[in-house]
Amino acid sequence: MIQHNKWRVVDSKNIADINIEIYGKNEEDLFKNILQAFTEVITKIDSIKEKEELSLKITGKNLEELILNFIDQLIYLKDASFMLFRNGKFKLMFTKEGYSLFALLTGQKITNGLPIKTDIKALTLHKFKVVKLKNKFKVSLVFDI
Amino acid sequence: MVSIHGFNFKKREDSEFEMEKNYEGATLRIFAEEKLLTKMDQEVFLQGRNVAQLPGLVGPVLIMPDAHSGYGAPIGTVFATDAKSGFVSPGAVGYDINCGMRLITTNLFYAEIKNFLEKLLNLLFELVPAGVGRKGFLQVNRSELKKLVTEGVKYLIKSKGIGWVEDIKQIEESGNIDGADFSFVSQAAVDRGISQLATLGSGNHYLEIQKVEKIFNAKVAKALGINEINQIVVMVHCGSRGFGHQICSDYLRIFESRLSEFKIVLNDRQLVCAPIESQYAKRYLAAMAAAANFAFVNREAITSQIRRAFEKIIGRSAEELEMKLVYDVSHNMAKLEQHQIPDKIGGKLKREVLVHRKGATRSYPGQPVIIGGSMETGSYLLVGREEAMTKAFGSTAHGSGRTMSRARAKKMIKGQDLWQKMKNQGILVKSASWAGLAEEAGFAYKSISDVVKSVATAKLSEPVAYFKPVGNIKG
Repeated sequence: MIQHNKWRVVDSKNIADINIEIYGKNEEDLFKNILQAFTEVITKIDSIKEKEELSLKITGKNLEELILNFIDQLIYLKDASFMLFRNGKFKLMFTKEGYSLFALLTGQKITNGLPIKTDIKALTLHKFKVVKLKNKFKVSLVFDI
Repeated sequence: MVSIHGFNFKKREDSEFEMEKNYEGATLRIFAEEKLLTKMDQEVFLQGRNVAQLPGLVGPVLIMPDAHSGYGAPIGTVFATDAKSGFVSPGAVGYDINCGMRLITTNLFYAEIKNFLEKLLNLLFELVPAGVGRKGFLQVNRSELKKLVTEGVKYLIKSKGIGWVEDIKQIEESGNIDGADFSFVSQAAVDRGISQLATLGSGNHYLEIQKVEKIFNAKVAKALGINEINQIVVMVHCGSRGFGHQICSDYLRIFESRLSEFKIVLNDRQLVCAPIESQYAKRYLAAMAAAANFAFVNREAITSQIRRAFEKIIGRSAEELEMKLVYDVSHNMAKLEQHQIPDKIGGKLKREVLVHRKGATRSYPGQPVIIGGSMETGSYLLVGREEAMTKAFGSTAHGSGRTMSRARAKKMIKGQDLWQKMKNQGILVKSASWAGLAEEAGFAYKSISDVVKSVATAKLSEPVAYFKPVGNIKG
């Protein structure tokens, strides 16, 4: 599993699921790394072909809700449409109503040949935290796998 | 007094300890032999104490011997809240609503199937999709799904001809939890449910061919269809798939957005709850019942595929092979039940309570209980005891319980090496993922025998038979 300055698995001693920290130098970078961490937990991201494109608009009243809604959407697309994504372009807009995320995701449907490591079934609220550090964002989360 | 991770526990009875109360809230009791108690991770106690501080609790919060840290409540938690003035917590039911176990008999013996085992596993792997991104054989539209999750297993049998009528009475609540309301289920849950119906899933979910290794109570075993050593049985562990997960996620978010209205202070967001009498709690319970029915239907559909596979490989009908359902029991659910609750003057009052069981099995007197172990070590059939009613809201353990993280297990063994090791032990495995296989290595779990010994000495349930795996399918 890839572990670098974009995201890392925190090996909590006795947890049945997976605890991850994801970083981003700005909000758009954070969403890109969230997408890649999500996909890498499930499969080897390099084995995903960028065959299909999907544009999404996700809203949230703050950054935390926007992240929750974005990950929920990734889980939904995996289960309902069998889609996994390798890459994405993100644009964030802030209005009076809150945040809007415009995403253009590229990836493929899950096929028999795709090496599956595990499934992400839900994003829990347990230990879920978004913090803005001096020059980057950090998200801590636990996936139910 | 036993001290672990900075917490003190007083022994009450055999395999029953109580946490020293230096916090506001309900009593926390742990059913475990001392050797299991001292091996529990600190998070179990921290999370258990958080649960004990939830509002509206009736009686103690109970932790089972197989407990391990979860999110919000530990896996292996039981508690009750008042049916009128209490609260419901979706996180304390769990994402995989009505994740559960089912056990199916055969009249075959290990020697008869040994040479066909690989073929049988290959066919089962084809007929019962496991892992990620595989559709099941049961294709339904929205209106059919609505019927399935509001009427349960009976509808599956009646409308689709899938399953046996005699299975119904062997399923908890006859495979249909009352009160399911499809209008409180989101479209996202429906879409995830339609694409995953009749599939096993991944993680610790499995379909296992086992042989009877030991019989502890021959009379009860015989009544349940377990007759002889080396008899072949089939065990299934799975739940409500994405349908249940989405319902849990949806209602956690809805409840959290209303938290200030409910005036509840929480130690963990995952424990968010709503007053039972609120419209939000009622909607959750109706959606939860739909998810529970989805899980019952899912396991019945999988059973039908198991019978097909045996018929094809063995060349005899499932009826001839006596592939009867022993029992199907949930271990993630909230249910309204009547229990004797101690009153303030030393007596007991019968009250209706909402019992939350997360990673804990209902264990009513005489009711079959299935405790599934790791894929290397085997599983147990037990029956509930009368004492479970007074001690544990009629509950017991559900499995082995992890002792290490999945990440750590994968660092310790490769899936391919575990596969070979198990083959050498006489256990064939078909897995959708090598990494997923490594995560489920036997050493990542507590001893199932220690767990069963704990629930037996705590008088929650009584062992009937022990099964050893010979073939396993996992996602």
